[in-house]
Amino acid sequence: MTVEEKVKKTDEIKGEADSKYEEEPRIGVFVCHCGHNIADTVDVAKVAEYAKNLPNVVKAEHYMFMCSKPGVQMVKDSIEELGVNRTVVASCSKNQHGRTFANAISEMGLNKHRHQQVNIREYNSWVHKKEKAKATYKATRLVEAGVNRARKLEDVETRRVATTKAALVIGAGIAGLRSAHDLAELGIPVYLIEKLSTIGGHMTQLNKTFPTLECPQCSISPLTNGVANHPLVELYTNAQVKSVEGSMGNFEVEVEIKPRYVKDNCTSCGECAAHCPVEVSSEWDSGMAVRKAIYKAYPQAIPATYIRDKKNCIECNTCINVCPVQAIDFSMQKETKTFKVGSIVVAVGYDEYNPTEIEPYHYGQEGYEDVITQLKLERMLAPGSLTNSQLLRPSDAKIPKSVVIIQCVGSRNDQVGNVYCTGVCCKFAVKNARIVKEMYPDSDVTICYIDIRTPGLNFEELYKSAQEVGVRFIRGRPSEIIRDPVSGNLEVIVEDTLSMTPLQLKADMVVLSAAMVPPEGIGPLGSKLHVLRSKEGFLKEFHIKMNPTLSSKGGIFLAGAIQGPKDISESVAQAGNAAALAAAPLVKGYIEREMLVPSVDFDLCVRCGLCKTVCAPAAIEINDDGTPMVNEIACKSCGMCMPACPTGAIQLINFSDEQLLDEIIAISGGGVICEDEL
Amino acid sequence: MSETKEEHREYKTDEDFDRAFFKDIERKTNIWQCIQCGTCTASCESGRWTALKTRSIIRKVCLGDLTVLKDPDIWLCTTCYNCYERCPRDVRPTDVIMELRNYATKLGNISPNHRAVVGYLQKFGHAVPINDEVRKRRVELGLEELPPTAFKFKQEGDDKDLKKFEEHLFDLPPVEDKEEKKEKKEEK
Repeated sequence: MTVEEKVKKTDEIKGEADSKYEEEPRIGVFVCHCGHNIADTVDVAKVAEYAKNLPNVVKAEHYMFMCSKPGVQMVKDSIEELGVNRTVVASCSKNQHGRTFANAISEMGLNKHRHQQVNIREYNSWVHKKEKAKATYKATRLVEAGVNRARKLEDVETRRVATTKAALVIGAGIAGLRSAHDLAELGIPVYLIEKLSTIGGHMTQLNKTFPTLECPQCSISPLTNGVANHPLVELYTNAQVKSVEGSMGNFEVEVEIKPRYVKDNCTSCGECAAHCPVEVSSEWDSGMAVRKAIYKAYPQAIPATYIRDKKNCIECNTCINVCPVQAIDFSMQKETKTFKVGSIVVAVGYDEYNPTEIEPYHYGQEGYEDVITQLKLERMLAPGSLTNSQLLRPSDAKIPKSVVIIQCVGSRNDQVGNVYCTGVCCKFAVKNARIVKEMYPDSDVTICYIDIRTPGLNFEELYKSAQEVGVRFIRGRPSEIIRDPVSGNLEVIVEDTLSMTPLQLKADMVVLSAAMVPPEGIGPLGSKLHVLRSKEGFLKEFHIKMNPTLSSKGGIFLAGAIQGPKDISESVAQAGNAAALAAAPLVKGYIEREMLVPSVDFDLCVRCGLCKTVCAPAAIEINDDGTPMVNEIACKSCGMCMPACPTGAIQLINFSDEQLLDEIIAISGGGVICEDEL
Repeated sequence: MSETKEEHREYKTDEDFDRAFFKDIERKTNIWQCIQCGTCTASCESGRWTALKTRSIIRKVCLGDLTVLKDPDIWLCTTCYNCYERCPRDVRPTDVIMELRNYATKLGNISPNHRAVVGYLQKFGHAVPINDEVRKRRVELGLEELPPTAFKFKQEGDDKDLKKFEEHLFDLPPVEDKEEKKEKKEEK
């Protein structure tokens, strides 16, 4: 757009603005009793009478329930009979019934945005029950303000925007896989990207899943295989989001894919790993096993292609020489791909809390090797582990005679900043305690807990079954784990609060039920996606009850533990919901958007760019010439750009300075009558 | 008592508990599934007026805390079965308390009042023996002076089987003499 064109556009806007008010406003005012809610405090008849005398008001009525069918009909009739072209309903909040009346006038052919809702219930009668005269006065002020605002309301158009029929799923754990699968089944091409070299996430690391003690590998493999082989799913492992542009319906995502150094013709024969001389601790096994510098995380890993760990590789080239299909190529480079998608599902899961922070438990310290976390216990008991699925003390490889499980490590703890209850730890602790007790009936298994929280079907039963096999439950949070400096034995100090007995329990092994925390790197990812995070660090949902799957940004959905701690069933349920919501605009092919967006007066704009810095949903871009450009789809109509603008060049439709000023004048008493007269 | 409590301020260790001791009770009741909700204590008619806290007694048994056998509170239960009826996990607290009393009695920890009642039973064949007042009223009402029980058939009580039954039933620690008690107190 050239400067001339911009000035021309500005003139057009101004011209439109002038012509908008040419049509004489005819305003209908309706005051609601809301049963006793308003009428007991506010003299509604007086308010309606007052409204009658305001300029441009052609009808002012009061009625018992405006939201009832006859009430809504009154509004409709006024449009037909008296030619009312703007309506003001003084009743409850805009959230409660604003839409009811907006829809009603739109049925009569008026633009929805010509309705002005005035809240005289929550803002007035409910809070001023004892000051009836003052409440009535306040109601008149609010109604007059509403009338002033209604006088200058403009029509807002609704625009259709075509969507890109493709979706991006970030994270290939159980939630991401479920979402990707469901989206693909709806006929939507899916790009599935995963940070690690294999898909399946935390679920594949587990030994058994509660409450049925099923084998997680068996449960998840149909899904991992199904997604990996789905014709509509493009899977990228070792990949991370680099940048995200665009908004709901049309995103452009740049993804960086790190090299595996092993080509896809790898037959997964394992010769390379067998000959590799470097052994390092395996991350996938939570350090409970070793792997080579060229490796496959676990036997069933998908993709089955091996991967070279460049950091630890000594470049001896042995693997290159032994590979029978010449699949290994050290010269592979990272590549960047750009995907155009309509919706994004974020399913990046969680990390296990690192308990080193809790000093009295000495996790990870020398001499305290037998203090482990639940994930390590899972890896130890899982099939094919280093201990051959036996429970052995890391310090001396002996079967522990007493195992103490400590709950709420990193959960329900203000000191470490996690106020929340993870809600899953009780379930897996009870499950693991039972498994250990059944494996070693002669060993003592104790769970130290603050509260046992096992809600839902089958979970109290699981708790009971652990009690039945003889797991000891001590209600109390251990204060510390102490170590005898001579024998090296560990002891847990805890009070049995139920009998008020301080205890010192022998513990050959201590298992910490560590919390679920937001995954590493969620901060940068969150800012790339322009979505808000909760104070705990998880990605924030749109509404905790009514829409826990949508993020703070339209078109970006949350699945699984990234929205908050969840177990597998909950993650799967939310992932399915995320897929359905993400698919809806893509299947329909377009989204409808009310153009309640700011417009820019290019004559006034000083090209400072402040509006861009305050725009939370990143809907404002700066053109090459320094002027702002509003993305009408991404805009959330929050109005933050308006006060930021030093010259008032950016104005949100129906929230312009002029309109708000009229409203303020009425509220602050610029009207006809004063308090004394009432 | 208070002095010994002071001495025991230290942490208790696994050696202070005998989890195997109450295996018998575990088998007869469902004590393993207790969740310490406190319905028993809240339902307890006796506990409303006395020190009996059923939940804490159950907790001690779960832990294997043998001090519960010396606890005088287990004798305060009236066996009204309120807790038994209301327990959400079917722990059968009343049965637990009765079993505890059996153990305690074997260890010589029977409560003096209960022991006295057994004494009456042994002596008179009645838990509540007949007294002069009752005898008088019986005559007034036109009944025999003595009811047709061990009072009346004293001689027939020499039966061998009854003797044997007596021996087993009354194989209890002797009743503490009131004078002995006094002496003990004075010694202290």
